Amino acid sequence: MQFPASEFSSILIAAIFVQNVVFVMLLCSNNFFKTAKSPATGLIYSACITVCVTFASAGAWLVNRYLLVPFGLKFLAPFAFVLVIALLEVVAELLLIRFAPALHRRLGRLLPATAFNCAVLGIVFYNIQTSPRGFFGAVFYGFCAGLGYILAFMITAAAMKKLEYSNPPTAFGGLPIALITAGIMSMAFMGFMNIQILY
Amino acid sequence: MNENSGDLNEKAALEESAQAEATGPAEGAVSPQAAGEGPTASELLALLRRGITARNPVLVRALALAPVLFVSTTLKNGLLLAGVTLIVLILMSIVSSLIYTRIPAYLRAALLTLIAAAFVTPLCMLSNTAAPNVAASVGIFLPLVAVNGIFLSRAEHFDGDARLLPAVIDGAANGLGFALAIILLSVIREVLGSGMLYGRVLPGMQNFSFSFALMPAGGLFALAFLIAIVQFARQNRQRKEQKSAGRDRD
Repeated sequence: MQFPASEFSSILIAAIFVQNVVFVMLLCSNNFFKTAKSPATGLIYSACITVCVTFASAGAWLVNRYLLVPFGLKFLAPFAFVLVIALLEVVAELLLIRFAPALHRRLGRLLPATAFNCAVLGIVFYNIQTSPRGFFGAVFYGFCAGLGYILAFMITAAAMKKLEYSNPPTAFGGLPIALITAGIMSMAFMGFMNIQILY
Repeated sequence: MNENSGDLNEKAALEESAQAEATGPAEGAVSPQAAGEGPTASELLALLRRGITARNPVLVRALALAPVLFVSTTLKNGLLLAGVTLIVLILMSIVSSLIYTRIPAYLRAALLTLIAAAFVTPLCMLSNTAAPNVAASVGIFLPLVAVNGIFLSRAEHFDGDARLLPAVIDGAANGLGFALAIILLSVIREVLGSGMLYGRVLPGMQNFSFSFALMPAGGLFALAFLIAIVQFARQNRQRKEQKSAGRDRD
C-alpha cells in the first residue's frame, strides 16, 4: 500500500475546508450550539468527537470491506455502522469506569452524546460509502473531518462570545442568532465550494 | 408565493402561542404520582399538543437540527424523512418505555440506538424501493434518523415510569413536532428556491429561482427566522400573561 503525500494533503484540505462537517455538510450534532456557550466543555466534546470519528471510520472501513461488500450486505450498512459506534462507546465507557472513575463521573454524561450524533455517523457514511479510499486514507479523512468540526466549533464559540456583548432583537436571542452566525460562516465556506481536489 | 409561506409561518406562530396554556397543566399529566389510575383522554391530548408545540423537538428544544437543515430542500424529501422519523419515534417510544429501566445505565444509549438502527434499516430499504429518487436525494440522512437524539432525549426525561400509552403518545407528539418543523421549512425553501412545490411548478413562478435558499447557508437562515418567529410568539404570550397577572394583583 502506498502513502502518496499529495493524496493525504488533499484529504486534509478537503475534509477540513471544502467539505467542512458543520458549515458545508450541516452535520452539526445536537449539542453543537448548546456547548458553544461554554467553550471549555465544548472543546473537550469536540475533541471526543474527533477521537470517536477516527476510530469509528477505521472500524466501519474494516466492516464494510471485509463483511458488507464480499457478502453483498450493503443494505445492512446503517445497522452495522451504528453497531461499530455503539461497541466503541460501550468499550470506552467500561474502560473509563474501570480505570478512571473520577473522569467517568465528570465526562460520563458526555460519552453517549459524543458517540450517537449526526456528526459521527454522518462522517462515517460519507467517508465509507460515497468516496471509497484505502484504509489509511479513510482513517485520515475521519480524523481531519473531526478537526474540521473543532474548527467550526471554535469559530462559532468565538462568535457567541462576541454576541454576549451585542444586543440582538429579543426574538433572535439564543439559538436563532447562533444559527445566523453559522449561516454567515457557511456563506464564507461556500467560497471553497468550487475547489477541485483530486484524490 | 412568498405570502403562502408567510401564512404558514403565522400559522405555526399561532399554534405556538396557543401552546402556553397547555404547558402548565400538562406538566402534571406525566407526573408519576398519577401512576395508579390510567391517564384520561384530555391529559393525553394535552401531552400530544405539548409535544408538537411547547416542547417541539426542533423549534423549541433544538434537537435534530442536522437532518432538518439538510433535507428540507424539497417537500418530497421533507415528507419522506418526516414519515420515517415519526414511525421510528413511535416504535422507539414503545420499546424504550418497556425496557429502559431494565438496562444498566452504561448500556442504555448504545442499546437504544442499536434498536433504532434495527428499525431504520428496513425502512431505508423500503423507501429505496418505493421512492428511489427521493430516497437518493435524502441520502445518508435516512439512516441518520437512528441517531437524531430525539428519542434518547425523551427516553431520559420520560421513561423512568414505564406506562406504555403516555410514552407512545409522547413519541408520536415528538414525531409530529419534527414533521411540522421540517414540512414548514421545506415548503418555504422549495417555493423560494425553485418556484416549485412538491415537484410541480407553481403558477406564475415559471422562471423564479432563488437558489441561495437551497444552499446550506439558506437553510440555516430560514431555520433561524422560523425559530425567531416562534420565540417572538412565545415572548409576546408571556408578556401578555404577566400584564394580566399584574392587573389581577392591583
